[in-house]
Amino acid sequence: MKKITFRAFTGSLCLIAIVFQANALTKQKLTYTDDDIYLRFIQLTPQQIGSFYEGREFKKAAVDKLTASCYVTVIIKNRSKDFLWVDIAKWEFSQNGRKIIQQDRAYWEKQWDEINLKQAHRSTFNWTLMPAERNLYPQEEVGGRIPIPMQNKPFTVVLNFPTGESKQGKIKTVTMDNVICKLDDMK
Amino acid sequence: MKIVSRVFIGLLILMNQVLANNDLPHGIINQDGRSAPAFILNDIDGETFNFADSKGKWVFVHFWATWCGPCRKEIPTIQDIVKKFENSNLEIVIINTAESEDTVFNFLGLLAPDINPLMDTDGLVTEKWQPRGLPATYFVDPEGKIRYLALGGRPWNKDVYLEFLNGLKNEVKNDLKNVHKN
Repeated sequence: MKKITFRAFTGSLCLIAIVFQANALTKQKLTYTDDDIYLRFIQLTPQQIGSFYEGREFKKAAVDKLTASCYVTVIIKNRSKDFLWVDIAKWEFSQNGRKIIQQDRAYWEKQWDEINLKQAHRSTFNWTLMPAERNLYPQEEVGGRIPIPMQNKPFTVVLNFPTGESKQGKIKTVTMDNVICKLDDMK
Repeated sequence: MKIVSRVFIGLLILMNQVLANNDLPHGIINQDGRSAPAFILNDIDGETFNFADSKGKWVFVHFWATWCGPCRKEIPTIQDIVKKFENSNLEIVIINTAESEDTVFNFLGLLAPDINPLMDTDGLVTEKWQPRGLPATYFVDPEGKIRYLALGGRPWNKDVYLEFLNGLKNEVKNDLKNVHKN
């Protein structure tokens, strides 16, 4: 009886620790600023993502596919006096050394073909994604989503930004740790 | 003496170029003068608009969607300039990207009821123009060439932007070749 009580007690402690850690990560503000760049990650839950596209009249089959993925919404401002390049193929998502593959536009086109999603909704979805490759003028901002497979543990994103008008400058690197796929509160 | 006058003329040219670039309001950048893609779209009332009919005027071509945050902030300032430049040499063309009439109607009813947008129902006209993102505003000269681009949303009803728009409106067609040769 004592053993069971002890196990239940330690189990509860672990659970509290996990919940506490999850809450801490959820509330953590994922931002980075220096003289060259402002970067912010916004995490939306599947329900929030679903509501967004449902509100744009996406059909249920599309919403089901969308809510099965995780989205890292990134806002970037070029604070430098030079061109800064967004090139998401140079952004590395990983979890404990395991590479997480981004779900790119080609991946989503396949998904949409499967359910015959209409062109207007494909277009809207594409405009909500982070541009695959684009230069940013000094002081220019850009924002968009990067879909990845749903993750149940925190992961790391290493963002590499080429600089200069023809990418001839130094690569600027920012690492964002403890990024999570935010889940809906099931209370 | 000849050298001095050459240096002086050279300096004048340089200053002129610097001023020409600095004259643009914040967030407006020069473009290479490529031809603006043609399109024919219906507005929200079902009236057909052919972009080719705008030749001979400057055209402000704006792409937007209701879900985009900066568009929400910018659209009331566009409503202000729609009224200001009505029936002028600056035509304002507002294109909604891939949304339904109901969505657009409800959104504009709250924020900018005087705007009558063109409906790019399937989003293909927007894709043809390849904006850097939404919102996006292009300035097309009377010969149909893209001359300027606005980066992101701009407060169009502010003096500095109104001055820029008035400048385009007042440009005489015959002067364009000289002004925008580069």
